[in-house]
Amino acid sequence: MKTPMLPLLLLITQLLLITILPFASADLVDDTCKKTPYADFCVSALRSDSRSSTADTPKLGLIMVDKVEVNAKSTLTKIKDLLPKSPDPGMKQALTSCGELYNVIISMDVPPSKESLTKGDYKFAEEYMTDAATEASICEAGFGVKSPLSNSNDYVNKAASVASAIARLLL
Amino acid sequence: MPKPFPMAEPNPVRSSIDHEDPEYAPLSGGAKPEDRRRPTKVILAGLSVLLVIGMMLGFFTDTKPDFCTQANDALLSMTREGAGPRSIPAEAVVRPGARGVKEGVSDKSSRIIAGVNVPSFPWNNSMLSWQRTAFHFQPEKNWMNDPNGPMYYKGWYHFFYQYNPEGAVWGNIVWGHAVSEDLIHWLHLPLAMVADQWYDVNGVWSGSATILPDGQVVMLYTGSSNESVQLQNLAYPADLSDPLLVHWVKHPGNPVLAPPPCINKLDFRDPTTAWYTSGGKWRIAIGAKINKTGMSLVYETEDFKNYKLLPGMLHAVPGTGMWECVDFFPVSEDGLDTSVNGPGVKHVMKVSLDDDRHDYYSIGTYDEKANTWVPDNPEIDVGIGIRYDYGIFYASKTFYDQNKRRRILWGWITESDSEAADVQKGWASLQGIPRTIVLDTKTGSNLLQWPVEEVESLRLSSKEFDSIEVKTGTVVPLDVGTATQVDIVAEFELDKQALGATPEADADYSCGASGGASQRGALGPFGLLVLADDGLSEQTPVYFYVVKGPNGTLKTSICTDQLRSSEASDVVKHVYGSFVPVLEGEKLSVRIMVDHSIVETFAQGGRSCITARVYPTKAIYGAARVFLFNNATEANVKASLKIWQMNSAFIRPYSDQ
Repeated sequence: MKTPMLPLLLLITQLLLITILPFASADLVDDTCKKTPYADFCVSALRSDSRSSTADTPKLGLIMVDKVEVNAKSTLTKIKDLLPKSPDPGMKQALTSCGELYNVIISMDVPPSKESLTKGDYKFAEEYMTDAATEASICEAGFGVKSPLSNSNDYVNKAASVASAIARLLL
Repeated sequence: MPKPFPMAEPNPVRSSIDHEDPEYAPLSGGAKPEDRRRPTKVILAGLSVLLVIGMMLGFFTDTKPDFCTQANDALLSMTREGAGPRSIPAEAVVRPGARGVKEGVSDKSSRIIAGVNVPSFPWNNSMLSWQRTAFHFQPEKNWMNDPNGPMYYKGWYHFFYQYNPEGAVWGNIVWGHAVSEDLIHWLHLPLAMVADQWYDVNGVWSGSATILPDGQVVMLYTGSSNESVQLQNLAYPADLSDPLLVHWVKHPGNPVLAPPPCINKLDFRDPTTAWYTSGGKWRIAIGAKINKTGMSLVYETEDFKNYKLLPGMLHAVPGTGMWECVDFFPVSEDGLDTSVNGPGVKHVMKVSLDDDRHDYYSIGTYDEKANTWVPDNPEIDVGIGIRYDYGIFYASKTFYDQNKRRRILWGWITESDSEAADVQKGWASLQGIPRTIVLDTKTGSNLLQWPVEEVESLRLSSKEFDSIEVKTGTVVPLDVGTATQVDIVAEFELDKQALGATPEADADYSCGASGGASQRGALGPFGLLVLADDGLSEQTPVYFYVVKGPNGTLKTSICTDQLRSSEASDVVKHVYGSFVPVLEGEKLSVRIMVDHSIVETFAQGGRSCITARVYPTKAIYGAARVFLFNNATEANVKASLKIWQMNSAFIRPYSDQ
């Protein structure tokens, strides 16, 4: 039997290309994160979400916004939990402010950022994720020396900064 | 019966596999071994041939030069010529480049990049409610952004705008609507268009109006579809005999345009007003980008329902990113209808750059036949040269006012306070006072913008100050009472002797890189302090800064300094501004309109404009004052000015009474 060389070759090439593609997406995570302020954080956060292996840049941004949302919600829960347990008025005040700030993050920063990244008017995601990062910083600053929310604030600040930077890449 | 192009489909993304018949029947049992081997070979060969044919079809479907093939070629040649990412143009002749890395990020992001944990200010309702303006267009509450479809129709100026009915942040965008008889006293009408069709359910985005010679009104706008594709749609008034144009109908054949194959479906928006060509057809431009090259596509139409994408692109500039809210219009010393063309007519190309949130324009020549526009001075091409406004001013759009034969410019002025404050006060964004636009025939290289004359109908009492000597290092209070709603027209003259004696400066001046009004130079800064309290704990200087160059040439900058504008630290504090051309024999002149949290500055008759948002905590209500100041070290200054108190425009919902 004579093997048809040319068509076979073409078919093999096609199959090779199909197998290479997923690896191209994984490089997108590295490429994208390199251009954000917290590259290592960005990589580990994105890769922890299975969607990142086949995501395009806007979707990577959306994954990051999801991280902001999830962590902001858990931080808010922590705040509500800490408030009744805090006798110190300064601490109470700081926690209350943080509660307001995290409400803003969840209800006012996350929705327009998601909308922006989904619909393609990316400047709004850049803007609102920057706001979210600032709000987390403001919350942290309110405690002075000892903050019970340092890890949470740090995470949200980083995640929002990265999300903002990703949106910036799309402009 | 016109055939819509491209075909309108409820689901534009559809797999073609559904419609293919299976090519080969499965092998039946009982086939002989030799027969089995031959079908495998045939299948393999057949599939491969199909593959090759498919690839060839993909590459060679259209042998005519079409937009996408040309676009790719054009981009390649641009990169080869080394026109890479835009650089700051050389200064000298016209105007130094305004764009620098420090301005390349949004105002807000520069705050956190600085690594500072900014404490939030305890804003109270009194401070926040003071921020609402008295005579600038804004809805009663919630978020607003781009101006849309401005026009004059049957005795009314119409204004539409991007609006979020659900909150003080961007999202859920629909079209708000208001009317006015004089561009100043606005009356709110019901929403003109909401997101109720599959092709705009994710956002009724920006668009423009075209009034046809027979009186029809055509509105083209971008819809974000159910699959988030950016599509262009047609709408028109339900009842042309209603001068208020309250109700609008969306064309049943929508969408009328989808992104061409080489354009990302999320980079295709903001159709312009149409212009009529010598060939008897209408053309519109739509902004897009390929990689980092911003561009404007041009479509031709006769009925606004069927379009042809013209080959080539009106213009493109590498490195500028997405071109939003493209505007394209003829200019002269008078206002011109959008369709005017002819030898000697200059055309303005304007874009809103997504990349840095600034509006840029350039003056050049339109070649209708070739579908190109070429800038007079490529060094100040669109996106790398002149800005309409050196403060906050975006998504701007002009229209031709056939009533008074002028071209009018609208611009979206966003907030620069904290987002939490916007949420607390329940609203965000203003529109600038509409400006007339003409070509500056004295310089020939820039436009002049000036608040529409109708704003002067708000002027109440005034006070005039003639030839006040302001010595170096002094501040002169101006007794006009409360200064939260004022219109100031001022002229300044530097002491001629000091001017001559001052040696050549060793450096240029840049508002944005400077320390603002407290940074002293030989011949500046001097000007006015607005929204300043008596103790000057809060102040917003608007000033001139003159630098002497080689051969005694003078270079003047106009700046607005927010550095000490508020005790709150959660507001943007920049020094905005730019170089402004001052011709031989001209005095330094400036007009400043203060309306609560907005300060608009127009220098040298509107050659350079600056819009700033200011959020004082103390210099509000009765405590807001105005001062003259001169912080120069060498030259005294003589100032003559007139200050009017401004009435409210009483912007409110329309009612039949």
